[in-house]
Amino acid sequence: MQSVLAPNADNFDIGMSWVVFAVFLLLIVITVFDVILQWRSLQPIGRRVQEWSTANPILAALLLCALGALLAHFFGNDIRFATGPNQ
Amino acid sequence: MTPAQIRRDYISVGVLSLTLVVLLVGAFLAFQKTHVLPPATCTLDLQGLPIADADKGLPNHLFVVLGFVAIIAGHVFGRFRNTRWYRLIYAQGPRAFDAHNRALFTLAMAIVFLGVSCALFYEALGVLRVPQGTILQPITYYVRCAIHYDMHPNPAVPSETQFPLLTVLLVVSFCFLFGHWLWYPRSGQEEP
Repeated sequence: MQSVLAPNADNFDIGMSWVVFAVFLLLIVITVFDVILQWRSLQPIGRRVQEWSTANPILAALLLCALGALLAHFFGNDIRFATGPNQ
Repeated sequence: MTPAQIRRDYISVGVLSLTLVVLLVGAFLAFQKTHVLPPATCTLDLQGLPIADADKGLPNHLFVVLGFVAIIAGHVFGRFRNTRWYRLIYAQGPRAFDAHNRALFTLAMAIVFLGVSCALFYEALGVLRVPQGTILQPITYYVRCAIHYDMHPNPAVPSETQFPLLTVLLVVSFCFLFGHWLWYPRSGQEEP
């Protein structure tokens, strides 16, 4: 693990930049797509997801389980910032 | 009905566009702020002393309540979106669009699943609690840390607080979109 040590220990800026970039890029692209669909009066993304989940109930259930686990992980756990190596 | 007679749903376009603007501005500000973070982000203050426990853990749970309200708002918004006017113009639907529609959407879902898988794998590495200072920290640390600096913008004086407007706007936007995309109502206003 030593090889991935950031030059500035304890600084989250690299990881945080990646998270910001990935999350916002995904949401912005999908939202732009949804605006275009609405502008052209085509089926919205929500309706397409609904049809897809109706056609693929097992995959939809798995996706819901994953989302639920993520939400519980982000909001429900009590992990704390470590303040030193291996804490 | 001709294209000239079609009433475009400007309100829905406006709501989605407003959400998009919030996302774009939020992304710009968040990206900008990550590059001015002090060393020892969210673990030590500028004097090298550990930050108080109250500032290291979960953010205010009111954010969760706010998120739930936004999810419900996203669901309700789906009831007011007018779609499928195009069927009045194209009785069979634009053939070129239909031919590629399913394949494109399937590809998009595959990309979403792949992205979620990568995020979960990264998060799994993060919660292994690798040595502090690596880039492999849990995503939840980054999120909490960002909220911390939104509420305590001055690292030199951690007791100084401000209203976390950016956090509130982004929580509302994210949850609104998730509620709208993943909990779309079956009874949306659509032409038969």
